[in-house]
Amino acid sequence: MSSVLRAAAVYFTLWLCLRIAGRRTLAQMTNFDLILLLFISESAQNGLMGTDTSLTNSLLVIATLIGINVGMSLWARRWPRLGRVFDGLPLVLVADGRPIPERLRHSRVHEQAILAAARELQGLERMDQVRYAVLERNGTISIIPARDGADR
Amino acid sequence: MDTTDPRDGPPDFGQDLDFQRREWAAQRAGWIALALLIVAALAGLLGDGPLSRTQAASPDGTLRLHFDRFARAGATTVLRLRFRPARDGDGNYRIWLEGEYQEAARIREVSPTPEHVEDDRGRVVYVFRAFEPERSTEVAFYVQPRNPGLQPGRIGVVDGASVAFRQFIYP
Repeated sequence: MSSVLRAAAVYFTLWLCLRIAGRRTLAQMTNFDLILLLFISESAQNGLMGTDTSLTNSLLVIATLIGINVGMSLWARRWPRLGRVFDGLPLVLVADGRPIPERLRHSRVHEQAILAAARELQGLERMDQVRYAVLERNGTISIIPARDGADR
Repeated sequence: MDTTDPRDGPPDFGQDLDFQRREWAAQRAGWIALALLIVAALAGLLGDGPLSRTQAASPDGTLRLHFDRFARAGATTVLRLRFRPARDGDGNYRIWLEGEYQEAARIREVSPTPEHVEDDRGRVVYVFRAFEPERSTEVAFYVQPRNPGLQPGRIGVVDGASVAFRQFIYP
């Protein structure tokens, strides 16, 4: 019993913390973000396993984590309202080459990050070559280039 | 769905600005909650820390127990009993700990090391020797609570005073 409860507690606590932190927190994956992720997994491990190092316990923890994940995704498909609470929704950050300051501020995205995504994904050089920049649910920024592209 | 902002243009990519604003507000509330949690932990409300340390005394004042109000299941916490020893007939000092507490917590270590441990009608009695008489002394029990929840306990000297205490055990 405690294996399942532990796994569920860690799952939802981690989800809550990452949701509070915002989707950009671990999406950029700087060197330090990677280390932070390792620290988090290390800390979560004790909570997940407790003092029981049996094979049964670790299998139960794995089964519970995957089970909750599948359950949540099924649930989110059936009730989109739950899905958006769980994963968030996409957000337009730049429309027609104009960044929307309120949204950049609240999502803690810098214009430089949008330009970096524009360079990496589309080879664009300037903001006015970006038709839309969208902050996706997984924290990445996707770029739709302006129709006339780079000749502008 | 709120698409009143003309800058969004025709495709809205599934965004929902009303929901987004609520999400931002919830996030800010979450930051405050995280900060409060960290402050509470520093203060000792979630385990060791200044607000957790407390003491209880026996009614006659001869025993004083220093302990943590808040402890965590599986983590070690210390019960320090300070007292002025009164030697019993065979030259030993006998301190008992309520059996129920003993069941709910694992005693990792007792310092100083007792000569031996006896069972006495649901109490566990620790027998010590070689305390200097007439000087206040201290016995420390390093315990690991097992079960989350409110955990009452009682500790005392055989044929003498006793102290009741209560700890809240976090999971």
